[in-house]
Amino acid sequence: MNDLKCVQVGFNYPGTSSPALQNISFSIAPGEFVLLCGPSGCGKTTLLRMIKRELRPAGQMTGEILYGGIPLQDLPAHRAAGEIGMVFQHPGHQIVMENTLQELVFGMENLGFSSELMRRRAAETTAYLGLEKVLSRPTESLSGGQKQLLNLASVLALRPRLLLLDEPTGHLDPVAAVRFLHTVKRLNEETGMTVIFTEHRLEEAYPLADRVLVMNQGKLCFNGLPREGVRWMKESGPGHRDLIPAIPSLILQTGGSEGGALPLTVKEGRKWLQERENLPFLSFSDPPRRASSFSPRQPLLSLRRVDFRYAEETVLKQTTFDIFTGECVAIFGGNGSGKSTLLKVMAGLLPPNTGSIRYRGRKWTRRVSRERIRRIGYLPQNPESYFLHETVEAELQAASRQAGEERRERCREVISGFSLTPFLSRHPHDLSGGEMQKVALACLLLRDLELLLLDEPTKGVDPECKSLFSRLLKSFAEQGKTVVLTTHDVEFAAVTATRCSLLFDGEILASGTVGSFFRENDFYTTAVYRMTRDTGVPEAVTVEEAVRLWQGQSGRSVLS
Amino acid sequence: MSRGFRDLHPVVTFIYYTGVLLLLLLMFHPLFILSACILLLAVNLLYDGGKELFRWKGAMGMTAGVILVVNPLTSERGTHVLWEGTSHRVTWEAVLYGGMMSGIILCVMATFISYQQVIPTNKFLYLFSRLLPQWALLIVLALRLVPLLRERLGEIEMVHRSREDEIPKLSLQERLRRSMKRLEVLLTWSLEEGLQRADSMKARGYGTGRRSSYSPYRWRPQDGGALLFLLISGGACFYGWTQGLGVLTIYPEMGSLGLTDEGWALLGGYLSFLGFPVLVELGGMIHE
Repeated sequence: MNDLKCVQVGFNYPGTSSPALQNISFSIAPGEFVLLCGPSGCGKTTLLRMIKRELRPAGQMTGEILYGGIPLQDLPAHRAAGEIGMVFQHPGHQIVMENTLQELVFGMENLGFSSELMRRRAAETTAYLGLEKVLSRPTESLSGGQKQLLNLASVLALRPRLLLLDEPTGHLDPVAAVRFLHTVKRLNEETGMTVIFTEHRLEEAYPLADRVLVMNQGKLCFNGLPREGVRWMKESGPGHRDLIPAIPSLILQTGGSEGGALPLTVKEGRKWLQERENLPFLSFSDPPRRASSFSPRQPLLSLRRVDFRYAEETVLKQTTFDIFTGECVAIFGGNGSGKSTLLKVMAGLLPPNTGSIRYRGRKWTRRVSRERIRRIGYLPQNPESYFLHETVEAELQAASRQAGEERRERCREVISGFSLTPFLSRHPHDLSGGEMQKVALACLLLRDLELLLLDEPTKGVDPECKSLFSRLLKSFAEQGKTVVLTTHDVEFAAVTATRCSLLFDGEILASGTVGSFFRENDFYTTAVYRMTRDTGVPEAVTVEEAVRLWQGQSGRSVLS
Repeated sequence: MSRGFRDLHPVVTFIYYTGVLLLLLLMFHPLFILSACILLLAVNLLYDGGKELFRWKGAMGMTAGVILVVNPLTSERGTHVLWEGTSHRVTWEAVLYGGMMSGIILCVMATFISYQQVIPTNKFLYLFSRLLPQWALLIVLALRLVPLLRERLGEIEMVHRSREDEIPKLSLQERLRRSMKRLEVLLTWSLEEGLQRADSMKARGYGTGRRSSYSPYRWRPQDGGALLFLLISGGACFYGWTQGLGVLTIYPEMGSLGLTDEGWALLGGYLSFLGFPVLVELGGMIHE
């Protein structure tokens, strides 16, 4: 018996000509762990919502979805709600109640469970997910990772047989994201719960999946094993190639995949390297470092012993930080470590309690001058708050307002570069998270800025768009401008940034060029580095670096 | 760790506070009010060392002081004259009446301050979620939104400030338009997020049937004992009040301040009701 079966499912949103889903057929056996991936707007979320009956969007549906052999719409309401659980992307937006325990029992209350049963299930679920300590705390005080575990707990308490996760780790720091994914995997292993999840950062998620479904433009284009999925992505064209996680991508690019199983995890990758260890590698040579030593020039922006406090909590403690022209600095740190506050302070939006900030050597006063605002662009963590106008087009025009003819030209360039044409007449708030990020970043690039401060620009953004961001930010920095961004995405930072810093407990702890930063970290580092570290092969942080290093040393022949 | 009175079932603690308010308003006798003041101060000291009470000292002192002063100045009733000027006289009755009024105000405020510590919003809502589950949920959701919206408005304002150079010059009209804009952004954004929250509620079966209500509180034997104690002492006080005890007639002529034997007995019941939290905590300490 199949747990879930989709037969020729198609879907049209009202008022649109092109279907959101077309002719999708697949079946999922009980206990499978299925990854659904594809570029943004390919219909992943729509498909998940079709399966979760309560959230089925309004529109025209064709085909049929069967759950346990019963058409979904014939399933009794309490069964549909209880047995098919769903967790969404934003940890905070799903939380309804003020208190953690109340939130946990919210679903059970809806289904009319008895108090005794609720107590037992709550105890069991919290113990399983390790939430006992936070049970009496207000939900607002939890970290992003804890919130997402709480959302999972509240769904699990209903004993779902099928769990749908819509980019559940999109807002979590790498450590919390891995913990969340492994918790779900453990659930799947231990209880046989069927899981379907979508994800943009595939490095960690991909190897966990039993099966991979790839969608594009509303169609299901691949349905099979993860290893075959990688090969398929490689062969099916540039749109899908960006989806390939770093380790298999590296191995495919160095041509070492012929014969044998394709490594997916760090462990498999290291084993793969060790098997080739006895081959005559050239001696280890350090990669040529580009502009690694900074000449003692004047920093563009410098923070000196800056303290910042919210009502009771000290967020920044004696933070000292210099930003130089032409740099692209990535700031890491766990959820709630103060990254966003640091950016706001650097944007001059929050005056520090003590300490001084200098911009081009001139000290900032508390009064915000227009000149200062004009030079610095700030992308907030929630792009919703960025927009002022009714349509995307109006936003873009406002951003290039003082522009002459040449700037209008750039406006058109940016629109086509970001492929914003289909959104021009839409309200910015109607876009998905990733699309909003795109529009906000486009607006910032149209302004004539010296310093760009981006708070998690890659959140909810698909791999293809991420590589576009990366190219744009790099070229922006090469024009002699400066970028500072916070991110959870180590792979993105490794290819984009020139320097990385780690913020911990209100202090900038480590700061170094990308290469040295990632080489000193164990967890806040890229999959490629974890694979190549101490293997005798030239160590590399990014796929490109590895390919360059290995192939530069008569690589291809050595490796294959 | 037992937290004594605060650990009792919310129904019991709620009955205690309602009873205290009722008794404070019923028993109008300087001796009763004075002892109530002392006991309620002790109750406050018990929970946070009187910190919260201290924070309110200004407001409390002001109200009590104003009543204390204004009453003798405006009322000339009574027969025991304390001081007589050319156009005004101050009577003992008016001074005492003002004093008792301000004492009651102080007591009521002290009661509310300790109430907030013992029964936070969620406990209060729990009490009413049994009666009106949908309304209680609505109130919880609405209360949660208030700080959220305020914080968000601050964020929108901040981000918009970072974009101000896009508009050449800000006239007053333009600035007003901008504030409206901010509210509009807040609204669309919050609606958008509200939709997500509604999705998450629906996904967990909201609206599929009758909601049950989870009670984190269990009714234990000591809750029954405490309730019995409160009912007996409270009932006795109320009975005494219907018999005309515990109330001092002041106007037009002040009665005797002394208490009859029944009056003393009533005071005993009154004090044991008001001092119930203190008794519970003391009992807990002895047990430990």
